[in-house]
Amino acid sequence: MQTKAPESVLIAEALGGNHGAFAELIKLHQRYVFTLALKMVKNREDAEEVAQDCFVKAYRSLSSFQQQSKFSTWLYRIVFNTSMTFLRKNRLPTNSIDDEASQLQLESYSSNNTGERVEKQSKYQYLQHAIAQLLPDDAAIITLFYQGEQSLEEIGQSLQMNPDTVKVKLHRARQRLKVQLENLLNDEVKELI
Amino acid sequence: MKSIEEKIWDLVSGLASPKEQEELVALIKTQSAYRKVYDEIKRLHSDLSSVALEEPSMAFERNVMREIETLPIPGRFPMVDQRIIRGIAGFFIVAILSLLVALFIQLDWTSSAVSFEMPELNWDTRLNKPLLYAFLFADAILGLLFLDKLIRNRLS
Repeated sequence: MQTKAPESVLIAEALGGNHGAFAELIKLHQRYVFTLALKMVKNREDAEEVAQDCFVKAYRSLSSFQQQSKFSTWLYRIVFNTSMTFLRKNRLPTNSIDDEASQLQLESYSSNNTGERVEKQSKYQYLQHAIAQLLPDDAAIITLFYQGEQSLEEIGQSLQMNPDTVKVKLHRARQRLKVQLENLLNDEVKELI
Repeated sequence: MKSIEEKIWDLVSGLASPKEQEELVALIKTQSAYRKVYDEIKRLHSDLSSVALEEPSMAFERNVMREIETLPIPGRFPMVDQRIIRGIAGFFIVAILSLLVALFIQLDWTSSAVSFEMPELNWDTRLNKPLLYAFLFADAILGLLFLDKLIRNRLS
């Protein structure tokens, strides 16, 4: 059975000109990178463009990666900066067309399905919708903490912040998320009444 | 001063210190207000942890690799066309050989007295004031151009 090479080996091979090694790194991180970009730019097409741009930037500056932190931490920093630059350039509003799509999905889930699966799926949809309502940096912190499985120190390195600041921001982001969820659920209840 | 919610978020996320954990567990067991907040936050924390990652399109990796294949290997100088390098080398070789041929043609092989003395240069006649000013002016222009490039790079 073929075992997967550790990231440091893949990086060294990519620096030696092995494109296949970099393709492996893409495979390992593409879902995390795309998820983080999507949570920030809030549109699938834009997120895909940003994520592609991030991997190209990572490849170009791979020789400057000192391996003092995890590759993912370094990569998320590129994603955060690229997404913020994209948002600044395009001056996108926080709520995008995708919000309408997810709203439609929410409605269809709450009206057409029943049982545990529905409960799980609609819970997931509500969460996705609530995260989409957050500001880009709040969404980034929540995504990095829960889906990127990054520690406060690592998030601090990615977002160029002090870990204590990250802790405070994480708490505020979760509070805002809770408020968003409560608002969403209240709206649903009001619609039913 | 941390609010109840903040303390409980820290507890469920594993960010509370052992002492704080002990105190909070005792409070959750004894006080219904803490219990209610704990149940609510624990549920949300578990839901957040179970949110699946998003999948990019099937062509994502291929698109990135297509772009990367056009780039030079990171950390190395960009590839220069070998024909340019050979062209420059050829020019210098031809120039040096032409000079040598011209030198040998002009040499007087019949003369027996060969002098290795270099001709003396008279700087007073060759380096006059207008020439010196022109030279300094060109230097000043080059200096300003370099400074402009340096400042532009710093600002960008």
